[in-house]
Amino acid sequence: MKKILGAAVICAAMSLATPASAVDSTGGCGLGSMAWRGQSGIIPQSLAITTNNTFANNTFGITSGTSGCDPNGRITGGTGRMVLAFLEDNMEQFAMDAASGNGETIETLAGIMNVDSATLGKEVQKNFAYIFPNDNVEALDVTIRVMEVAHA
Amino acid sequence: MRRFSALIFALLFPLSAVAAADVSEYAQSTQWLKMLHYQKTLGGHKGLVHDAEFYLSPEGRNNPEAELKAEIVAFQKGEDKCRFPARFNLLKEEGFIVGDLSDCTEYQEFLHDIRPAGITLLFTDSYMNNPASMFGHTLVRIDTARKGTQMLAHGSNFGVTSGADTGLPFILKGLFGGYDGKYSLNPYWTIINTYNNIENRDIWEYKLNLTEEEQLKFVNHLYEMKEARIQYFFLTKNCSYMILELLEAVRPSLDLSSQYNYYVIPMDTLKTVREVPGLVGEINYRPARYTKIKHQLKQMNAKQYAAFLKGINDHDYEMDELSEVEQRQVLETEYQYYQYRYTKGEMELKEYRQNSFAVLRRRSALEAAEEVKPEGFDPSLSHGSAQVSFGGGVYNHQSFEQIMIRPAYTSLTDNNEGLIRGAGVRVTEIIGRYYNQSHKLVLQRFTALGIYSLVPIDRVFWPYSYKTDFSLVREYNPQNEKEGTVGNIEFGIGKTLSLTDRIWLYGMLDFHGQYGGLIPDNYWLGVAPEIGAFADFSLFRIHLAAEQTFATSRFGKRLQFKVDTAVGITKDLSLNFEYNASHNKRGHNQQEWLTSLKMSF
Repeated sequence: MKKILGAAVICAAMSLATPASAVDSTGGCGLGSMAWRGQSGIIPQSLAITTNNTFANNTFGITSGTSGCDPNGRITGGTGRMVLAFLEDNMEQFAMDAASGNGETIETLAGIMNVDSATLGKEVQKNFAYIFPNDNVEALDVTIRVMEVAHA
Repeated sequence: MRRFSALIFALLFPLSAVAAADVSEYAQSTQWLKMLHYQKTLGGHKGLVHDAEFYLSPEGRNNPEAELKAEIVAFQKGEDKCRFPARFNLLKEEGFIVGDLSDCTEYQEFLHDIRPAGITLLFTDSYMNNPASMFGHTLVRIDTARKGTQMLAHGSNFGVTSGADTGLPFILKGLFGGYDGKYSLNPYWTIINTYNNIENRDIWEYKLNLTEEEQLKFVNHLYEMKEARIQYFFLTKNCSYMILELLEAVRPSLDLSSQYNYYVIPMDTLKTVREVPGLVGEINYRPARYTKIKHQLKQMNAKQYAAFLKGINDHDYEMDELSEVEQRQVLETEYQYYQYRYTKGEMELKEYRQNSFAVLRRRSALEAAEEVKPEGFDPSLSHGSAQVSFGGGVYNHQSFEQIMIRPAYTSLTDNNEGLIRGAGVRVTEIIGRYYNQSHKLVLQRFTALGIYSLVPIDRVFWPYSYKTDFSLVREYNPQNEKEGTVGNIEFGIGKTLSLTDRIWLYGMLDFHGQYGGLIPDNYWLGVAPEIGAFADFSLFRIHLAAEQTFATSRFGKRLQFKVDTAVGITKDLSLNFEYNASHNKRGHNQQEWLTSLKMSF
């Protein structure tokens, strides 16, 4: 009995303590913006580690092959591919920044497209309803419209 | 055939150009040993990496000199140099070989994608309401020279892929090296999303002052480590230890990892790096989504708060009574709140989309405004994770002296700057006592794990507060007037209410059990309503608690009072006063006073 108790104590201690020193192996592509993809549920805080989370049932219908996310986990490719890759993973934050007219995702997109960040902020806010025509818009459409607005 | 040609080549070229003595000497240099992650063993060295492909010599893992020789020969021929750019550059600098890496297409593409411009150490803070995760986690970021922001940088994490294992098998395998660890590489934006937005953990960024050569060496080294597998041990060879190894390979004069022999707490490795003079430059704080929402709610006036509640509860976003600035704050907070709820799985996709969209439409009609970021307290400046205390007191008219030793981590009344207010987690705390009258030296308490997590509720968030205790405690049995050690388990759950930022009240229902030969029938089980107060005025911290236990045995039935106060002298030093009293109906009363000096280091 004493031994069992001891073992139970240690296990309980470890199961509570491990999130600390443990491990997050976030799969390569597409972990970011789950919400706009129709992926419900949370990434569990438990220690079950998944690799290469691919959201097969995402409503966007964009497979990771078409995006700029490199299988090696690197940001790569030309402007359009990078904007798409970025928006696929950061749509939620971009939607907020676009509605606000500034923010980190706008600065980032301005860098990728090599345009002025303040101008881009103004343009995407002004054209918010055009870039996000409805609440289930796809990353590809947003990409096309953002690039259109940016060069307008 | 291949081996034969290598032999001929070796005879003709590099080793003849370099004195064999130089090679032997360099093979034992700190730089060479760190670059290949050799660890000292009794008779020599052994590499941490266990893939054969990581070494060019068949005996490379155990023989640094054979490995060095094999690499000089291969690199000079142009073989394998593209796989090991950091080693190649090193041996070139040392004059062992000539040549360059310009013909390494894949490596050059890698460099072009990464575009290194600096190295930043990342510390990710605890999960919400999970004090055990205060130990933190570390990873690194390769800052980028790309236009835009550091969202386009890349982060690298040393972690394991455990497959389907969870629970106990995962813990046991992790403790005893059942998994292989690898370095991963991801865009920094996915790291921000994972920690800030999904796990709701703050990220702290510590820019390292490395020279341009060192930055490139770091990136090259990471490139050659990308396939390397290293046996992963949760407590020792973990994420944070392996980041120290990387830094040492890049700057061998750094001595960071050698002090970590038994356990590696990520927060401690952060402090180790921080203590190297001049190594850490600019520090940046990236608050988690939850942190931002809490901060924004705190900034709101009463009218805004009412509008916010109306929005999230009734989905009514009319707020004409507010100024435009006030409306912006409410709408942005509502949007983040919906994201938070959705990510937690508390909101359906359809509902989430409709409402977040309605909020953003309204927001886009208002003018742009700068985001007000919450300020955090740099966790690397928190108190030391280990603690000792010396004290003396009186227990039922007997005076005693006591010593406490705790390797980790913090108690409720310790200085919580850089940690979490209201959270205590004590791991393997030992208290020994010497009673002056009876000349007895006893183990007063061994706490394997003790947690307090007090998190105030408000009208938006309703978190639970809880406590746990797994320990061995010294108890007194009045029936036979004997003392002895018993096993003790407690788990309590409840809610905390904040009167102000600094004064909180809580109530919990505790489940309590004890086991041991001292106790009649060897055990008792009970439930115990507990009420308490916690106040933190920075230099003065106090925890009060009262608890009535109803138990299966008279031995367990008791009414307890507890007072624990700390007067901070520095962040690592405090003077503590404790009072504990326990009454039961059979006159089995205990009373204890204690004064102690606590030192963290």
